[in-house]
Amino acid sequence: MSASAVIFYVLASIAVLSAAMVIWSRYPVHSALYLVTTFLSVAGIYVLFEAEFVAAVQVLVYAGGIMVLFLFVILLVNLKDTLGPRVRLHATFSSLIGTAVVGLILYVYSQGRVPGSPGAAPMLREGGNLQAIGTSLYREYLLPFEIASVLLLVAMIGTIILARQKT
Amino acid sequence: MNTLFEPNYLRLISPELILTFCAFLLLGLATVKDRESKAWTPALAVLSCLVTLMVLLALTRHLGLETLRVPDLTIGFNGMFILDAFSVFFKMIFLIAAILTILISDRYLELERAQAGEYYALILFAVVGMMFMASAGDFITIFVSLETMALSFYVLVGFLKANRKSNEAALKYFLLGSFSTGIFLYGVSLVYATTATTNLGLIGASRSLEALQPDRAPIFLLGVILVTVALGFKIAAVPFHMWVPDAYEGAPTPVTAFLSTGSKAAAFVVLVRVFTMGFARLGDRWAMLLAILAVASMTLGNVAAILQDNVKRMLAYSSIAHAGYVLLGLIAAGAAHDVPSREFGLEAVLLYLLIYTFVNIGAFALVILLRREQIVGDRVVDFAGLSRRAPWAAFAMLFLMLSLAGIPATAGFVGKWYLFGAAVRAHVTWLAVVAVLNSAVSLYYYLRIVVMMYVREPAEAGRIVPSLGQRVAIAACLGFTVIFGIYPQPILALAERSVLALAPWTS
Repeated sequence: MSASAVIFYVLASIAVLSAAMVIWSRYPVHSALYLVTTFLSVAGIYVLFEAEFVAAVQVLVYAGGIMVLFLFVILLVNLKDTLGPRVRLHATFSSLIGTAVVGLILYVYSQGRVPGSPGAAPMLREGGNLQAIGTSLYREYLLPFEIASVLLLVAMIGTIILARQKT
Repeated sequence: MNTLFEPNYLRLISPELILTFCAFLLLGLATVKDRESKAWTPALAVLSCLVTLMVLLALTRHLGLETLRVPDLTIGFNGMFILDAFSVFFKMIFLIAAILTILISDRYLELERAQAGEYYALILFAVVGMMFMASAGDFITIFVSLETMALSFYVLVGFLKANRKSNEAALKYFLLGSFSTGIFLYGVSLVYATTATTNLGLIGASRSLEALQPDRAPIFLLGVILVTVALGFKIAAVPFHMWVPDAYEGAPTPVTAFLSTGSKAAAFVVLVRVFTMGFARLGDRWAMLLAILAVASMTLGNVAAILQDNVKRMLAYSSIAHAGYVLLGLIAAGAAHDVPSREFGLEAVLLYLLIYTFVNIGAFALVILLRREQIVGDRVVDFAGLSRRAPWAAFAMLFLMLSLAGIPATAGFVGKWYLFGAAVRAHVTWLAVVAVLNSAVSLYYYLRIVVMMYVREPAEAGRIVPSLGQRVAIAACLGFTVIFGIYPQPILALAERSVLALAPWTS
């Protein structure tokens, strides 16, 4: 077993274990923290596969932005009232769907029909996909990139306008 | 098109650059504490739009976009940006709509105690988004500019923070708008998955549906349907209209006016661009899809409008119905088999959107006129006896209502004439019949306001005096409706020239 394979199995088992803990832990805040662990170990796997950009986005967007949003909601909403018979119904449904999806993945895998991604290989040679994405962002997609900056500015101004106290 | 960046490209987007800069300026001005200088914000906003309009027209003339008989395109940024006569026509509509909106905003914001420089900056940012939408030649550009416009509108709709209706409207619009964004992206990703490009021209040129691998054709079609759904939401077509009545009623009235004209025209420019460039070969298929939307929008819009007691809600449903009418032109462009008929359909779309901008903003300007201290003034009964309290305003409203209904000698008639004519010419006569029947129904609720103004006694005495901005805006809308209702040739010729730019794809 090579070193990268060892690292992969360590990261993968951390990801799976903490994903299980997300469901099993009693406190929502603990679940959220386990979710961060999952995200981070998945990001590690991405790095292992030389998908640095996806890894960076995984950390910034999921482990960063989205988790903060989750925590805000958990802390602001009183969750005690919502744990009732309806949640149990939800849980039954979700576990059914989850089992079905896992079964499907295993089936496809056993058939040996997992498609490779031939497009990814040439990109990796010119200094990783981070550079490839950066180059195309600043060249082919220069204009949308610049419009996106206006978009983000509008979002920021909008938030400030809606959130500030009346003067 | 092969070079990725040239300094020349900055010239192509100079109108947008100038407007963005002006918006920054207004934002800076919003931080000034001095009340005297703040009073200049609306005037500066109008000036920004005028300067941008002038630069745009100068650029058009300089590049020879307007005089060239051959379809002329100026493509920049690796196909992301297309400056042609078609996009210039729509950019003009957006800037005019913004100017009219700003003119009718000042007094209203004062009454609502929501005066703020950011309001005008957001309107300008929305216009920047719309202008990029008009020139977008790629799904990525469409997406970011569409979102720039949408985000500005989410905030503008909820601008009256103390008003619960405004809050509710903004939240509903935001939530449903986010869904439509997701659906749009999903559709685009499916199109990308089957054609390996997001460039509209390349999608159109790549392969016809039959040439796609058989297992990919359904995926591509699903992508087309999802994009249609998302844009149907933005033009307020049934069944994606749920947000419209609430958002239009709750939003500050000038924002409603802008939303119903600028945002709708912007969504239509993307619809036309995507369907005539990207999906041109599927014309007969998407024409059927849009025909369903058109019939549903016209019928439900007009029937629901009859039941409304609130003028803003009534105009909201009327705006849904008008989206259905405008779709007729696009359907004609997809269903027709010869090039002149297709171009005729698109001309009708352009012509109607220009006319509708003036007429609808005019109608909302009149609603704003009735807004006074303690009186919201957006119920139908608030119009009672307006002819005695503000004779000129009532006269303007009379004309605007007749124009919305499509009575001859108004601009609205000219617009509908061409739309319905395009449908007949493209052999979808049944759609034109449905549209005419619907127009007849719509007469009822437009005339109800006229009857209120001229027949009913006023509930309160006292004349209503419009502000200077309101006077200018109402006069411009009335003038446009009357002049081009009788002599439509100039705007007709303009629409005709603008559509020629799409010729490489329509033929």
